[in-house]
Amino acid sequence: MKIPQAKYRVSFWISLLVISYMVWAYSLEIPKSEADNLYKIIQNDKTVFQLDTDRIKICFLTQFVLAPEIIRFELPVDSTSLIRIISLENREMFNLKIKTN
Amino acid sequence: MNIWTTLLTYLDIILATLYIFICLHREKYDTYLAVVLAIVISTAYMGTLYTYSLFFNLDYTLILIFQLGISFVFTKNLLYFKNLPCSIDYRIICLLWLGLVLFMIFSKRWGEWDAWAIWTLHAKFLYYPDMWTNMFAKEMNWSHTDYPLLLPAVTAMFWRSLHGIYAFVPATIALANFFMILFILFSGVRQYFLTGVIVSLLLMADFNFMDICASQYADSHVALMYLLVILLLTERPKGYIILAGILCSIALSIKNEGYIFFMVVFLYITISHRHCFTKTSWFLLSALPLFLTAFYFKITYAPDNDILSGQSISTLDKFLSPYRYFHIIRFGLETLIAKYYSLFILLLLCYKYILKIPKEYKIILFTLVAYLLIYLVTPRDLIWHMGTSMKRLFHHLYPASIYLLLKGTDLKIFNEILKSKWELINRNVKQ
Repeated sequence: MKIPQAKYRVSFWISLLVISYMVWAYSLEIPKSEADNLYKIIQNDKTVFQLDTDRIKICFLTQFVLAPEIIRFELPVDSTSLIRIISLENREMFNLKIKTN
Repeated sequence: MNIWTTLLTYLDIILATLYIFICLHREKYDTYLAVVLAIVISTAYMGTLYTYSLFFNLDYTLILIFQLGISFVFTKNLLYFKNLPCSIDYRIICLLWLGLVLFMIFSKRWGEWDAWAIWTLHAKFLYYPDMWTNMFAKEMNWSHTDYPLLLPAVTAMFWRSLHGIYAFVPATIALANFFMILFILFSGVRQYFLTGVIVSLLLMADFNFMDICASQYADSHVALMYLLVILLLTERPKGYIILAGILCSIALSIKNEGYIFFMVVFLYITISHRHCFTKTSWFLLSALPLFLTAFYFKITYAPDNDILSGQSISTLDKFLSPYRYFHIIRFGLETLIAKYYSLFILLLLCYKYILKIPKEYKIILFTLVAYLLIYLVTPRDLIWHMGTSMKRLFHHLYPASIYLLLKGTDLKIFNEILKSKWELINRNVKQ
């Protein structure tokens, strides 16, 4: 009896494709200490924070949703460092109020 | 209720995809093309439903239930799959795996600048049905909130189904789009396997192409729509005008540049079928639902477009300035040579076997001219504007150009030559 090798080849490559994808997708979700890194940057050089791009980046990476009057506070990786980032001085820079969930 | 939203979202997408696939396959569409068209149209459809739920403050779960009801009317169509032969060449999956590995190398968490400052950020707003209009506050003007909502809506829809904001969702959407571009180019030359492999490898080895695809920008999605429209207009399968209309309207729901492409395709169809107005009517009718959605968004929510609102009396001076023409042409040629050299490599490989380039190249050409005209009147600094966007505008037209080049080539002879060269290399390696 002939072994349908082609069938196994297809199964092998599909499995490899799916496993590779899952490893990659999972790796994207591993919590990174982005908030901590940003906090260090801000501590070392406050001028960095004044740049628009960094302001946007912080809002994005820390899962804020910018709003005219509210910043919605969403699942921070490390909430203590985040609260430090949003010091009073920085709140003024954002010109926004903060509301935590 | 949460688990129901998840189940209903995926059930609705899967059923819509299957029905569209069945409809196209029955009309003798190529399987690869039918799969890609079904995925694209069903995802855009579901994304539009999600947008409606936000626009009109409707319960998204109720919309999903209503959609499921519509799907069940067509349930008997699913029996079609009983007689469908299912075979796939393992070498294609092998190529896809190679593509995935390269995509992983180029991809970054949350993508590049425009991805997290525009597209995914907009999706974050759309994720919250009660707060999404905060996106249009003037503090957010830097985020180009006039951009169409389809891509952010699709991302937000998947986030809602997963009950959280995950980085892998926009990354997976970008990956799927990349695979679909490869699939479509491959399906165009599928009788000539070696040519398909060479073209796929050429694209994967193109750092600029891979970089833009993995950046999670909307440009690759627009490129896929343009490729599909050009393919349909060239091959002319049954109902191609309707599909072209739908795809053009999807393109304009993804990026504002889609409006230009829509206009060019509309003019092309009107002129090429000037004795038969029915075709033009079908094109417009099929584009109408998404066109109206995009129009409603523009008049109700979107702020003024920065390029349009920046026009003044000085626009005429810009039109008459030879300096601007010179810079645009020079920058365009430089970008083409530096970033799109693989098009020239392909041209060099097959120029001897080119018979006749399909006349749909005019669509590409006129779209390109219209793109360049926008630079002429841009209110922003010309060099900065071209530097940040020109390579992405070429990216829109790049896969479609490759397709047209292959379509105009005598692939039978070209493939034979490639085969003989491949055998020669194999023999030399063995010796």
